[in-house]
Amino acid sequence: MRDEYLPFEQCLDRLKHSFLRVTTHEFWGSYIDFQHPSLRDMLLILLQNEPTVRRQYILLASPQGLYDIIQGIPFFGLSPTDDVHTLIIRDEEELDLLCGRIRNVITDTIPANDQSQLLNSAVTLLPRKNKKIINAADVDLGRFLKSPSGKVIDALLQALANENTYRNNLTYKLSNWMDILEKFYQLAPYIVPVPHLSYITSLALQMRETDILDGLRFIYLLSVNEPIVFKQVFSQKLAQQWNKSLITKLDEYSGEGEYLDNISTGDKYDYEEKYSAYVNWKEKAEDLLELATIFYSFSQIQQPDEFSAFEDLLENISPPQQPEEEEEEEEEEDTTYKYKTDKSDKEYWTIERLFEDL
Amino acid sequence: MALKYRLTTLGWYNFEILIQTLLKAIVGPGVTSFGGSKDGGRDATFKGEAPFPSQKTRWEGKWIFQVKYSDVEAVSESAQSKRVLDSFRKEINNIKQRRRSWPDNYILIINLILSATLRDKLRKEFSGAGFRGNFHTIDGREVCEFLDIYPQVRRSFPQLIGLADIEKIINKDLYVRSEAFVSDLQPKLITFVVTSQYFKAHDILRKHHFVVLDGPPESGKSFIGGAITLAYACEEFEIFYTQEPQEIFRAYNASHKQLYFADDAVGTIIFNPNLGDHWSRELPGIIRKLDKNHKLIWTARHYILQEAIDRTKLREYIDNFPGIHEVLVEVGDLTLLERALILYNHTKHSDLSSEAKKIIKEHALFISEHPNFTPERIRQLTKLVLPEIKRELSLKEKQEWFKKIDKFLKNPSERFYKAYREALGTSERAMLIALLDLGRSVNKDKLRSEYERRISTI
Repeated sequence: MRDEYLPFEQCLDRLKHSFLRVTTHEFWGSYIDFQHPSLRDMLLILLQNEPTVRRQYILLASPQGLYDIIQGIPFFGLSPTDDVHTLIIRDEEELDLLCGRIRNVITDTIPANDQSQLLNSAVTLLPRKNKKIINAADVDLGRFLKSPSGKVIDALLQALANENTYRNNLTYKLSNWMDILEKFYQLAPYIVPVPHLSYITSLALQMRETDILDGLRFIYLLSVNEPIVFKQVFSQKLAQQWNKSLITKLDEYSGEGEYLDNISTGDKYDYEEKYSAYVNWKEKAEDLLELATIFYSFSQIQQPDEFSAFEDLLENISPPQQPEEEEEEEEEEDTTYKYKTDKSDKEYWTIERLFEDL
Repeated sequence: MALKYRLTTLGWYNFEILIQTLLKAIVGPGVTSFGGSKDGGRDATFKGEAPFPSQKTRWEGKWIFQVKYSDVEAVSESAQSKRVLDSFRKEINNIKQRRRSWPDNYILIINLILSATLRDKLRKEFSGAGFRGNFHTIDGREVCEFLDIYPQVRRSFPQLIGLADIEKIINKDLYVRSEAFVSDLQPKLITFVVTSQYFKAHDILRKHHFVVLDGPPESGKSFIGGAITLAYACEEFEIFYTQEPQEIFRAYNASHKQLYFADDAVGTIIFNPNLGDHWSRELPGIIRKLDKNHKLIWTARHYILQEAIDRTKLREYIDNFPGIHEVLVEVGDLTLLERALILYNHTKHSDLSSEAKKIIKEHALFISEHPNFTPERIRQLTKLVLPEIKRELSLKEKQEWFKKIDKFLKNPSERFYKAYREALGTSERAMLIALLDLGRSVNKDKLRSEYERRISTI
């Protein structure tokens, strides 16, 4: 049967004229799109009446495909409308297929970014009031778990908590896991019983080998969400080691900040460059200060002098001075190019006359 | 010798409008529109002194401008000369009959190249008819020169610009860099119709350096954005067709002129929260970099933009600077003339049989007024539906085709469904489904592996 299928290039050639278009970028290679987005909409409508193809579509969905289908979960059971542009899950049977596919994809080896995206899409399913997410304690969780949104989140989190997810994705860095865990802990309170990450202790052990800032973020996440694991892994020895690294970091950032505080700016583009450097530094510095504050609050280590010096610098640093505004050449108002047709033109150019020369 | 700009693809309506616009720039705003003279002739007039034929030599008095348009580029030189002379003689007789007195200056404008011999013959014809004033011809080559002198007029007619012209107009390095985007867009521009929204978007981009083209599906947002982009390419802007805001930071070069075009910036079909977040985080930084040499165009379907504003920090940004109402152009409503021109351009530049073109001519008003008219449907009508007409039709067949056109405009998807079910095999279907799954602008290698995964599983 497989012999019936066309090779990729041949198949693409057949579809190029009416359905697909290929754009080739020098830097980014070739990209393929539907000839027009409306063709994609039409294909979705067509799928509404093709139960076998729908099943296959769900069973073979890629992480991106799953992401789109999850976005359509709030419309479960409804007919497609002009405002919904994704495959809408029609019934419980399809929902079961979807949950199964989610489990397979999540526990398989997939890029960390896809994992994160899927969790992002699940966040959009949390119950809301006036567009704001309702706290888990104010939600009837038993009822929510029976809803399509609850089932999808449950499937996602149970799969994520599975040991295989960790084993199949050992290449993730701690910073990748941070993105994933933040979403996991945001979603977990809405599921009963609360899913537990079976590999959290293994992850916690990776923390010792990692960059201090990622380590601090991770330990903070643990202290809030996994207090027992936190007690198991956060030793005084580690606290002292991190304190030393943190002081070095505070010194390094202070040096950078002092330099930025004292530089003068030249022309507009020079200013732009320095302003960007200042904004980047400030963002990183605020992040560091926040992490350091948290660290000194739970590590029982006294704040060093470097901490308060850094705090002062951050409070008092001013952005680079904008150079005297060069009079930006006021572009001339174009008065000629907007052609206007007058009454006699409109009388002359009837539709019939316009098409006369065809 | 070919013309620098594709004057012969404009169509006679647009060529007349182009000349009218140029004359207002060269001679002065007092030039009447063609057909504006009281005697009912098809010429433009002017009264007074003007810097024409040059800044130093200024002519004055009563002026007449006449335009001749021919869309046959490939005709032999002698046949062309004969055609021009014949039509010119007719025109002289008309003027004799219509006007009580001769004008002081008579200017003939034509979209083709005139040889020196032909120019001389025309002059002799005119003096032979008793004309004693100034006579001047402007041929296609000179019109192109004027378009170089007045780029703001050229900007109004992006469909003039051919792919080869871009090489002549812009720096070779820039051309290579922007080639992919431009080569995809340029052939389509031949059917482009400048609308009031196109001008509005240009104005906003000039003033704020950032414009958002918003509108329903199939309304032509990307096309307008692309046409503006090409107009900027001709002003030596590097073009960056971008999806992610980070790409702008990577591409940014303070000393180069650059235009970033983010088509469907926050999602093609549905709002993409990731893209929304990225843009809302990076937009303030990008806006700081925009100036007269760095411009940004966004397009977004209306409901996606609304959702992006509701669900991200874009609202905070938009409430501050420059204000959504100031940078937003809503694309959608078209006048009857604009619709008719879209239909005309698609038909004129199609490979349709003369019989199919005849059907369009007969029903041009009906199609242009159709409540379901969209530029994309017209593209499909001329590219996918009407090519089926290959021979002369009987009256009954014509009536059936009229019904088919109406049916297609009302429900274009019907045709797509039929093609999907009857004309496509399992491989093609699998590829379409793979693309549906992967989303927008899918990398070819990614589509290949997804396609192969599917056919090996099914």
